[in-house]
Amino acid sequence: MWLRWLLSAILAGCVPAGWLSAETVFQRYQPQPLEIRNHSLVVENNSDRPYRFVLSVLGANRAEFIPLLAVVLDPEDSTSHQWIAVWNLSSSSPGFIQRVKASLPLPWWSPRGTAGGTAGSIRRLPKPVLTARGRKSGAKGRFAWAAARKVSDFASFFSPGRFALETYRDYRNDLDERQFHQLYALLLLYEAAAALQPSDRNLGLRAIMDLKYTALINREALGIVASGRSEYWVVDKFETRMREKMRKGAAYLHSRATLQGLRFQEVNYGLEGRWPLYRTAVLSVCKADLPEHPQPWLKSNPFDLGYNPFEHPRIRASMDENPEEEIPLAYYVLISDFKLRPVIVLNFFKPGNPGRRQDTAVLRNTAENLLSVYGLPLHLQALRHIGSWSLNRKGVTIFSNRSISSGIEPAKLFARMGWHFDKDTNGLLLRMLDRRTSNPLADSFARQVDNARARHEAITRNASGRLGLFIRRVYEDGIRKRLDLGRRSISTEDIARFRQQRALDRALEVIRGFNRQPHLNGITWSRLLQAWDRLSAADPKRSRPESRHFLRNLKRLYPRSVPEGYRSQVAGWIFPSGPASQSSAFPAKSTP
Amino acid sequence: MQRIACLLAAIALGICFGPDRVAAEPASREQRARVILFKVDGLPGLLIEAALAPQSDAVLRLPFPGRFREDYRATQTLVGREELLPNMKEYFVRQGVRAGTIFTGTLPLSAPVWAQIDSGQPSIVKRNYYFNRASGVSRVYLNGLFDSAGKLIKGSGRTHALWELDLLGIPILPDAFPPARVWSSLQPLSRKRSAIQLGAMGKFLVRAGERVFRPGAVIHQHLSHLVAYPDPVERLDQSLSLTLAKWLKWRAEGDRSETLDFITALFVSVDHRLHLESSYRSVLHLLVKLDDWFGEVMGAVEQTARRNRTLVAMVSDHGMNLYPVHINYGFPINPWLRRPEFGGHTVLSPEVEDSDHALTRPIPGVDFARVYESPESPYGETVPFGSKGYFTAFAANLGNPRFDLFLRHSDLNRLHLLLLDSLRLRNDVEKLDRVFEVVQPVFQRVRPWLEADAVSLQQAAEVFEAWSERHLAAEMPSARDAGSRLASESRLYRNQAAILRRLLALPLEEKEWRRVIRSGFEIDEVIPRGYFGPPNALEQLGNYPVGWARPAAERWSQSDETPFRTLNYLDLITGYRALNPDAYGNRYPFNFLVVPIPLEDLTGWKGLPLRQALWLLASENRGQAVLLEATDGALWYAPLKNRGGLARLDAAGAAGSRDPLGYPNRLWARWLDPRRWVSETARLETSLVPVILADLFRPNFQDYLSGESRAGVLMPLDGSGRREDLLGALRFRFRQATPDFRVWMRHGWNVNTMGQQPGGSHGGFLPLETQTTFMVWGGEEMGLKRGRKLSGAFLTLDIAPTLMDAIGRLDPVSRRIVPDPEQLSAPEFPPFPGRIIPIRQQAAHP
Repeated sequence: MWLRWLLSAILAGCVPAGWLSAETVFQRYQPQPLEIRNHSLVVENNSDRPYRFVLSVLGANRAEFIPLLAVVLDPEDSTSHQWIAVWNLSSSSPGFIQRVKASLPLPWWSPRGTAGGTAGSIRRLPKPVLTARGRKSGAKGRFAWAAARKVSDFASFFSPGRFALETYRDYRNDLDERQFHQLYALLLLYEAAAALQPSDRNLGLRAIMDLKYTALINREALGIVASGRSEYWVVDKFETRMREKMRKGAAYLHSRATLQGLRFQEVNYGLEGRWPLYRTAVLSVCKADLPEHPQPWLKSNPFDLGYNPFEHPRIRASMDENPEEEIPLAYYVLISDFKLRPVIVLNFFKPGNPGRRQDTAVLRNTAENLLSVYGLPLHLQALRHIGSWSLNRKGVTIFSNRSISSGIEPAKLFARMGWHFDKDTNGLLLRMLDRRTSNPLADSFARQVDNARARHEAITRNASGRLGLFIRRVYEDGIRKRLDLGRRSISTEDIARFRQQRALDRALEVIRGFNRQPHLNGITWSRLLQAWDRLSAADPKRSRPESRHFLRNLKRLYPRSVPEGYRSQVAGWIFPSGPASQSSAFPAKSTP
Repeated sequence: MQRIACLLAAIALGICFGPDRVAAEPASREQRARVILFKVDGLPGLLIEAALAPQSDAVLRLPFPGRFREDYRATQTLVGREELLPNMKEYFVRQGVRAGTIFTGTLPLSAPVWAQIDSGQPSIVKRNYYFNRASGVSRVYLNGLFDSAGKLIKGSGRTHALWELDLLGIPILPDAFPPARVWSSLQPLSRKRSAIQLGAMGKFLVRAGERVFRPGAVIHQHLSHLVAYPDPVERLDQSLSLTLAKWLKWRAEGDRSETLDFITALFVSVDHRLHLESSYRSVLHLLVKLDDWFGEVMGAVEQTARRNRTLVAMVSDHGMNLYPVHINYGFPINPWLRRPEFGGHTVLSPEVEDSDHALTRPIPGVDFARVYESPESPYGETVPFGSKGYFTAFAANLGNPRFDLFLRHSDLNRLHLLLLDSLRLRNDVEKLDRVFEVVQPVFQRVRPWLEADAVSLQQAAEVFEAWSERHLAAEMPSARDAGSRLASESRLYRNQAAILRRLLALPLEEKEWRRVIRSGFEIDEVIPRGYFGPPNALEQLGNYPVGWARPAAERWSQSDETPFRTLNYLDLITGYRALNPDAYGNRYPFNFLVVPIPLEDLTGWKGLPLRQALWLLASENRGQAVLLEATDGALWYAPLKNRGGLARLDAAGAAGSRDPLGYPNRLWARWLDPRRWVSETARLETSLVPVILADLFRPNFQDYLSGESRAGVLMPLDGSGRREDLLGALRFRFRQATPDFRVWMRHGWNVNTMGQQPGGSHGGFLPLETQTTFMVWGGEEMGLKRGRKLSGAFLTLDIAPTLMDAIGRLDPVSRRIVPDPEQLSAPEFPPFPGRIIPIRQQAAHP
């Protein structure tokens, strides 16, 4: 089956050269039945008009709906703060036993649920991964951990407790990283699916961007100092770097494979008619490609196969049997914390090899934690750092503690959805991906599947009950915070005021956008003036910095860069004492 | 009394400040026009046109126009602006004038095109790397960090690319203004040390982009950057825009206003980003930032007193073949050249291979040339009497879809092999005699050009040494810099000449030969390392010796055997099929190669007198073609059936052949002006091939070393004898930068050394690569057209005369720059061959 697919994929790749049309390029993706299902969520409150939210669920619509991501959003809110809570349905919080295991100073080789068992049904509402009331809760938690660690370092006491703490922290960080990449992949999929299936009830583009930004700042302890307002450039930078890494990884593997005489096939994951979201690759060998004397097998190569495929007896036998047959060797993910090196996930002729690499990483972590407890003399510390820097720079994959979850987690997600490969191949791939997930706190793929079903059921079953209550609490906490109401209950007037405040927020977003522009204005004047009307009504004394900045900028642009139809209105704002006081930074000229 | 006090005070103030002010600020300065050149590296003309007008036809020429518009709308939402580029739209579309179609007049690579834009002259800089066939020296024209370090250490701000122009006396636009009135950022061609920019960059980085130094805010920003990781290249560009704006505003204040007449700043993040990743949304977001940086500068311009006499031009050097879906895979040319199937060459690489993993390259862009030995090399340490360091190939231009290949002369290879085997067999009389039978004709063949080269090297070494002494004695940093460069070249040439003389001293008489061989010598005493000799002729490329045909034990057993293993590079390049296809499914990485043909070979030609002839050979049997350039600059292109057709070529062309470039028949076998070619091929996928090839292969340096030559930094000369020596030395030096042939890759392949550049690329002939940007805005008194998009096709060669004409500094008759009366030692500008782009209103002149 695998080979059949691989051959057909390669044949599909052999299209005539030249500038291909969009149709030709995108035909190479198998259409995926991703679907966004939006459910209305009516939640009672203290007023006569209940809250009306939308529960938006992204899933793969195969024989049965495979739910992946759930978001509750306020459809009446058009700001980037439209979302209220987000669930990564596949991921669950580790239980007590898992936490204990993670704190034991022992290396663990596999994730939770590998040995079987299911997540079972969930009675309570699952814990969301992000909520509007705790936009920086993840970052705060990390900061607290980091602070505790620094304190323990400073106290420099040795105890098994500290070793346990360090071990637990490592596993916890790894889990957080995995959950971040799962969530990010799901958000990318949601965005792509929403573009193909547009609806007013979907999460808006700016809200998706805000969610990505929130996920990004919660990834680091220093996220507590990051701006609370989402900044598009941060998200853009992250995604650009992500795409760049995958592209570089693919180009690197392609050129090395060509030099070595191996076949390379890129396997892209994306929706029909969209850019690829993730890139992976398959390496294979074919006797027909090889010259009479194949290239000597270089010991320093990026393939991590653990053997020379030209001398491997089974491969040689297969090649001799059928010289035209393409024999797959390995499957790689192309993004990780390694600078360029692809990460081997599936090794067909040495299946234990990827797992053993992962084991060396676990051993190194354990050893590092032990060493950090004892402490090394300065010269040995220096030696250790130099060695570590050099090995990392060289991209050595054995005993490396660089995270590979940025490639592993999306690959697991796509394999779970049955993307691209047949069922058997995806099953094999999932088992191997689990083998590269050596963390007792993380979920195995089987558990993720169960989680998704159970958590989706729990959310939808509780839609009018616990979920409604939870959403109301989060939403009203937002109202209290926005209106500075303390802990008192929310009345009808508060809700009305909150709606007004949200309108003001929208206006403020526009005014801040205007203020950020260094010179001319790219926002339509009607929208800008509408926003200013609202802001000036709320801030008649111009006490807010945004108002002062806005007027200063308008003054700079007036009159040359203000359209004629708006000049008198603008003049009234910036020169309240009348036309006599009018002046401008540069001489007035007619607007072109 | 009060009046007397005022008068006294005024006199006192005049004494204190008057003379200085008068000296620094001549009275006429307010009347001068000012030029601000906003250079954006790698900004595709089609992309910026599409971003300025997303509903226009320009979008349709981008890959996936629907996705572009969709991402445009998404970017509008995400950045919260309906108009993504308000500043460019206002200044260039509504108030300014822009060229609808402007192409690179030479190869679309940064160093060649910036050299052309800055000088207004045909290309002297032909690629991004310099390589000298005589000395084996290689330099990178784009290594900004090395240039900056050199500037800081040596004090001279001259970059390597500018040195090439300086040697020929070709000034660049900033030279047309008094040095105190010029400000230039770091760029491939700059003369002054950009201390202001470097200082501002440092300050910007320390302040983490905060404009006002508030320690709390700065620390906060630094900590936030640990989470968000801003792009360092974008930050440098942002800092440049702020520096420029601040500089303009500061200059606008008080007594020190308006001293700068020419400001040129290069922004590099667009090129940097597009090379790595080119999804439309991220590209549009980058353009929004670029517009902000431009707006920052324009905001400052608006506040200056000379606003109405300012001309602002946004120019780019080349476009970018961006393709958001597919990856450009790398063809690591140097490892391939080390393979037996590509000749088993030991190679000189301009940078470390596998640069992403090299320990020696902690900072990207900082690197040195190095030699990579091939285990297959027949000259290396693995063979008896062989030694390390004999590189025989250099591939220039890595990271883009093309390269120039320099190969050591085939007869020198033969001689080297024969000398090694002679030494090995020195005690085997019989075989040594057989070797001598082969050595003698080879040696006789190489002797004439070896002798000529030895003489030229010695002469050039002496001339450069003499001039270096003179320059080193000067006090000016630029003169000392010239002196040290000349001294360095002189040393290398002298060394090579000495070794060549020893080689030439080897006897050709058999007895004497045997005696010399038996007495033994080290091979590096007679064969200079890094010396390539003249470029190989077509026949030599078709029969290029790369080693021995048989193992050592089996060689020389018969006298009539052909001892050398040879490669036909023409067949190899055009027929090579890679194991793995590119992202488009194409297995032929090489598109075509171009090689010059000696005019003597065109025996059947009876048409116009020719200046050069080029042969274009496409891979995959897609045909071949010939390109002729007449002495008057007209171009003639025709497909060919085979190489034999070259000899029989006549003015009627060769009908019925396959055209590798797919041009319409009406363009075949017709003499057309290069401008006509530009307009005829503007919308074709292979735009401008004849125009660019003609410029690239033409030895333009000769035009500056003949007749009324100025000979650059080396002038003034003492007497005609010295002058001829110097011109001869320069001619020899520039000839050494000639490659054997040039290769272009298929779309989807980049040439690299192992570092990966998977995004867009440039250097080819697609309109996305060759179409650049030229948009101009001028203050009211500049008399420029308003709101016009100029029809017709223009070249980057036209930019310099257009700008100088717009500020009234171009003599319409001689087409030279009118010297600035305040400039005491103004360089003499050669006439501009480019046209004036009609950006001015009729009869308007500042």
